[in-house]
Amino acid sequence: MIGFPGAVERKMLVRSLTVQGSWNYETLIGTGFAFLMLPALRHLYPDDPEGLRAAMVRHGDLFNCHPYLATLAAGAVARLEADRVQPQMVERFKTALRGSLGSVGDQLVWGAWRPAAVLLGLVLILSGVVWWASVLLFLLAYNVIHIGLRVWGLRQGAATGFEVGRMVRAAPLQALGRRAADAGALLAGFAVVLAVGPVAREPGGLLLATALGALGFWLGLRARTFFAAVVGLVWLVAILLGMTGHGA
Amino acid sequence: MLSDPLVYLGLVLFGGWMGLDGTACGQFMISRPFVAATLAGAIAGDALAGALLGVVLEAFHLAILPVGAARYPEAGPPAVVGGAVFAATGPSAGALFSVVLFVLAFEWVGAHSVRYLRQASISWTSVRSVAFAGPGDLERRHLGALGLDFLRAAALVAVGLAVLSLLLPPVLAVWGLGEGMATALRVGVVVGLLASSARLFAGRARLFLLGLAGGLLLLLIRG
Repeated sequence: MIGFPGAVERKMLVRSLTVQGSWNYETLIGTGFAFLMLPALRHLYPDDPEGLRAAMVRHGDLFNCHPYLATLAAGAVARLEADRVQPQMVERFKTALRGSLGSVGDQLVWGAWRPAAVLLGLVLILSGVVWWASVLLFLLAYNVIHIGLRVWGLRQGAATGFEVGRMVRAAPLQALGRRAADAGALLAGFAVVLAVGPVAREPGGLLLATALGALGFWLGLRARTFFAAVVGLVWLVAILLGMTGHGA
Repeated sequence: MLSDPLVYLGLVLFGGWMGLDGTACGQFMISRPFVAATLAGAIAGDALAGALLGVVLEAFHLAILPVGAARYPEAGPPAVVGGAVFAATGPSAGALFSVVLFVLAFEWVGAHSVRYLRQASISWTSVRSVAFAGPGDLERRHLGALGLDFLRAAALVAVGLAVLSLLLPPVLAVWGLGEGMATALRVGVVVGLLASSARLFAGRARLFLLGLAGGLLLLLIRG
């Protein structure tokens, strides 16, 4: 990291894993962000406890962004602190960064990469790959991007400072999100067919699965409520059948 | 059922960890339902049973996106409860439907406990409410919040395991749906939820259809 020793960078990376640890409804991840910044602040204010405390309080105020991209903000802010930029300027910069890092991270990670990686895990487990290998492959696939984003963010943030917004727009994050969504759509199709497996040889079961699959596709993101109701209804009918002596 | 106190303790500790992994610490996605339920099943003695339940729970969670101010059910600790009890009971249609229903409701109990913790922690972790004595004070409070989140999730799992273990036997005693019909319904629900996840990837219907064809080919090849 430019201007910071390797030990400071490593501490910031480890601390970034807990950036949401003290999430609260007043400052959101503010306290976690200050916790993440402290190794850099201690390096910058070695003999100035009051300056260190003031910087810590400034960075502990309201802040929010995608947790994996918090390192990008922390790297850039650490760079501004090292360049002795006016605190008001740093605050304005953080405010401007908040929304854009949130939306980039949400679209890339929560909206594309995570569902695609989860579907990969489901495809593996549904196609009969041994459970521990399915779990391990999912965790490896997902965390390569997860950890990569944290490391890349800290380094790029520190290297670009004020220019971090421009750097994020130029980085291939959106292209990565599109490729992840492509893979996710393909894997969703695979997973649907593999899930049919246990009833594939029974015409009645196959028909029911096809009908519910088509219904699920049509319902889209509303499907969760509908299928939760189906589970509840099946449960209720099964209990009633058992209690009235009509059960299997 | 879960009669070994060491297994119970292991599940409670694992559940505490899963509470942290969900948001506060790591977010390595070990707390995803199909991972957490499978591992909880392994601790309780039957990883495959845990995986069977985990696939159903995961199908319910695929489309939940933690964006903006959205409130969403907590996945990890309830999946630990479900995976462990389902594995310990022995997989059956009655157990599966009952455990899924319990976990779907219990996920909202988890979500409310997270909300209360975040509200309460304003008074001791927010710079607007507390005058921090120095960096060490902030670090202690931040790490303390992590500890409390762990305890919250562990307590949630301890209660969940006890309640579900208590409720399940009388329900199974009066379960009246045949295994064949229940399997068809379970598969249908999972298929429906997985098909709905295609909508997460807007404008990619062709790739989804290609995936369907690929999966079909794989099934045919395997006979």
